[in-house]
Amino acid sequence: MHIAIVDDSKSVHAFLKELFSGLNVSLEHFYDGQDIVDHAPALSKETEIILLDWEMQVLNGIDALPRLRALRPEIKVVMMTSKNAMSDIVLAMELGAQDYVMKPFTREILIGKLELNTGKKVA
Amino acid sequence: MATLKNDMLTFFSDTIEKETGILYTESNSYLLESRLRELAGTLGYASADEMWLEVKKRGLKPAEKDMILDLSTNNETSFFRDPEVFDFFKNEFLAKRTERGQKVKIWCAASSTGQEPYTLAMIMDQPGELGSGRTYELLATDFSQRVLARCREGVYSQLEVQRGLPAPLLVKNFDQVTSENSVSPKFRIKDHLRKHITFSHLNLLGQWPALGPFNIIFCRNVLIYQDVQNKKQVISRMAKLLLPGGYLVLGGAESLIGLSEDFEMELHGKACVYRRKALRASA
Repeated sequence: MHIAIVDDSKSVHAFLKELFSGLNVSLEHFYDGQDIVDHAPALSKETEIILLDWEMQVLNGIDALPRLRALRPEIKVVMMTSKNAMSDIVLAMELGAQDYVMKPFTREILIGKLELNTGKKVA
Repeated sequence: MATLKNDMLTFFSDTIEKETGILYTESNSYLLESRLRELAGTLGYASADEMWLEVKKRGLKPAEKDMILDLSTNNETSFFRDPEVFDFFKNEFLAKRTERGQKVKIWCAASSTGQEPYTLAMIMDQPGELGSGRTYELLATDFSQRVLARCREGVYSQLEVQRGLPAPLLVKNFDQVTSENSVSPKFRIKDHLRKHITFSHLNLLGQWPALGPFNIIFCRNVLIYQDVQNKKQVISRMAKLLLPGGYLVLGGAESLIGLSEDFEMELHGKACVYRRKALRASA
């Protein structure tokens, strides 16, 4: 499974790299909403999920979300953010997010969400 | 370093025991240690030791306490746990084994903290699906009063609502009960789902009040802890409460082999379930 991670925190990238080590998951790293939008057309066909943070410097995840859905409608976007109000989740769903992971989360929660949204076993 | 680790394990095991009654001893402290490592990683610490040094300085924050209690108690429980069971419930049991006009009677015999009965209620509530327009009754029972109180309350932590539950179902079926943007939000199941459920204390090995009959009984991952005699007794009593053709659903690692002649095993996808045989005419 190929996943694009979009988060402005390097420690989140490091945490996810560690979390997925030894699993059949390959990662591509982006550090801002603008970064992923610019690269969206070139993302490989194997990319199944974009894990998208909300609050980022140049372009927020919630603003990047509809653009990503328009550019690559076949790739599912799962928000992964510390914004945990129900109204945030509703907004993300309305803008096309497939699912929503609230930080902090555990390994089994994230793996469960990926399996649920791809129909594939990860671990 | 060993003392640091021992201090940490003592502190957290005492906290967990005080709040939940769950005991971590020397024999399973490795489990607590791995859960503390997971908590540390989740909270952004480089290690459990680093987290412990910080906690020692300023105490345990409520959100951290919730998380460690959650990790220590609920790892085995999730919404839609073993999804193949709920695929069977929706696509086979509701679609083909019950009449549309018939009231569906369901018993969750070990409802625990409620994820199973509320999952079933969410399926029954899905518009445009087979559950739509169906009337149903759901009895949720558990041996533990404490657990049953939580089940009845239907309030779940941020971690709990993320286990097995897709966000669209969270939005549809839960309200947030703590202030928005709280560091430790809670979510409560909506009343329209709860109103179909009767919560009741019941010891499967003790006296049962008048119950049933039911179309389907869920008794997952409970009998595995019982001896053969108790298993046979409980299964026999459940068989009597099932309508002919009704189903008994056990946990993935449980079976009726050698325990009962009242059921036929059926496989639906990956779900293994037991169908009550038709009653024989009495002699």
